Amino acid sequence: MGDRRIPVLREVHLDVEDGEFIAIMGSSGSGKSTLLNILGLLDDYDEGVYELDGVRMKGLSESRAAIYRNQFIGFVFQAFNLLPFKSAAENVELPLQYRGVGRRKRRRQAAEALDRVGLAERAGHLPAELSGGEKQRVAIARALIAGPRVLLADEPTGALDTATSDQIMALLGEANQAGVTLIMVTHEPDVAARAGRIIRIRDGRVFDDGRGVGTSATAGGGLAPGADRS
Amino acid sequence: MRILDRWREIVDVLARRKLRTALTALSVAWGIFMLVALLAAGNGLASGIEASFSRDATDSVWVNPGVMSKPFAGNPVGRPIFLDDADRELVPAAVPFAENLSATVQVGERTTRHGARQGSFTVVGCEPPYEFIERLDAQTGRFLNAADLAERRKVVVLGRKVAESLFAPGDDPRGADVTIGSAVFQVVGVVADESDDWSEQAIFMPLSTARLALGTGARIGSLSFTVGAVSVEDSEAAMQALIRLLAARKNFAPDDKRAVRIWNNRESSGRFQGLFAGIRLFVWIIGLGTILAGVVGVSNIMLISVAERTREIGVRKAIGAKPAAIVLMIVEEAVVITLVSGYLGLVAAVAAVTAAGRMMPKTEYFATPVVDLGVGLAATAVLVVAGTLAGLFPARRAARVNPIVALRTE
Repeated sequence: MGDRRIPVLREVHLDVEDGEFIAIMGSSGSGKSTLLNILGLLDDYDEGVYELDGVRMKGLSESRAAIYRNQFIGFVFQAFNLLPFKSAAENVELPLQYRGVGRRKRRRQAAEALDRVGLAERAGHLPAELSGGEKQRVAIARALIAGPRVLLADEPTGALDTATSDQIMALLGEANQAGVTLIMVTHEPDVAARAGRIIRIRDGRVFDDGRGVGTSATAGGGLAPGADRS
Repeated sequence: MRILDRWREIVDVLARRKLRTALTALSVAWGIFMLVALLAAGNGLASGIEASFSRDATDSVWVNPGVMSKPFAGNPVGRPIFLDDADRELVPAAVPFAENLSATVQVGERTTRHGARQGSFTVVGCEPPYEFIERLDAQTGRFLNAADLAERRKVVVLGRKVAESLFAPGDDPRGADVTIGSAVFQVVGVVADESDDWSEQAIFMPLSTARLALGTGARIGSLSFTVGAVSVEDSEAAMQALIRLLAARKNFAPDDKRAVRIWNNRESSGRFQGLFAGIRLFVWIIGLGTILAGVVGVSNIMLISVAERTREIGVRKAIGAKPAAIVLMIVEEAVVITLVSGYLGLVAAVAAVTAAGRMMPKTEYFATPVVDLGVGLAATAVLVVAGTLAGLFPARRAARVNPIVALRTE
């Protein structure tokens, strides 16, 4: 590894509109997850400008970033990332807890959120007692409970079978219908196909921003968009 | 987060690591146990020795004539020194703050009878202020007074145990006659001295009466007085001055330690108090050292815990936990471990000390060990501070966890 710094992302220019459903595609190592992490304020970047809702995010203090992550952004991960020693309901409650919402109110909201993803009767179960699809539904309920403007999903169906994937994508689609901006990293074309816009990344560069503008300029090398396979 | 939430999370986390938490808790508990038990033992020792001092007034001074141990001005080694009434004036001259000056003479062991009952008791000739020097409490009647002395009355005051052996229970000794040797004396009072068995088994009579009986004239067995609340240094300086005056008058070397001996309770108790302060300091150092070892243990398991929970911490951060919330989470866990285990140690120590106090025979120099509220409060403060320190370092490491790295770890 050493100290050599390798740029992961270069010359990324993206505009995302409120309420969009975007799929980011690219082979592994292309930088798509890094892009998502930067968008989610989990990762830092060396140069450039990232504005969220008109506010520059560079140099944000950890505490301010935490507030954004808590109130503005929801995360759904491939590996679910539920806390294993907490019940489904307790996992869903967590963002509200960090917002200082009282216990009774949290309980009620968590129950409602679990009900919306069809897991009302599984509220008291630990993650280990849930199937992969159920875990991801809990994670989605957790991501949505605080009413985020943006939902960031990193390979949300990557660990799931096709039928379950469809359920998960349906839930994410519903959230998007309700007005949440959805940005999803995936390498599955049929999953990406549900998105309103597909952004393709290769070697750290956006070579198709899904708007058909300037695509060939960054693509270079005569690669067709369809060549991106993972 | 509300307090209840925090508490539940902490209990959750600790319960997941029962053995490790228990072992660490044990080290902290042991530290507190040691500190409290040692402090209690130290207190017991201190109060035991202090009690042995308080058999007499803690500011009392005794001047006892002795024998010369150095030749001086033509006087040989072994020459006895005697005090007499004329020497009384030296006391106020050298010790301006002296009070309750009283001369005594030892009459010696005398067979004493009352009716059919009899016993052999120490008889002392003394003056009224002696009551304050020996710290005698009149149980019935009174102590000797100026009139007894002036009129050389044949009256005595009995120590409590003397009265008990010469008089039947319920029989009032006041006004009764007792026969000492072959002379008859009237009892005017009975005195008690809880801390000193000697004075409970003694018979006190006026100095003038004792001299008459012994035929010793103006001679004095010993001089005693109290010095009040002067500093140890002032009292010592005054005693040196008194020795010099006595040496000049009696012709012995001023640095002769045996010609006249002065027992200065003020100085002795001051010296012992310094010793106790030293013992307490020592105990605190040992106790705090043990607690420190426990705290390092707590800090260590918190570090391991943070490493193990990297992913959890990453998830919490991704969900919106501020760094302060993460720091607080870890510090609170550390404080809870130290506080709970510390209190277990404290309770165990109090129980052990109480049990030891019940079972241990009371010896002269070791009174019942005591845990006072101050020790408990100090221990609590130490625990909270220690727990915070133990948690702070791991907590700061936790707060620096990079959420992405954390989410990647499997």
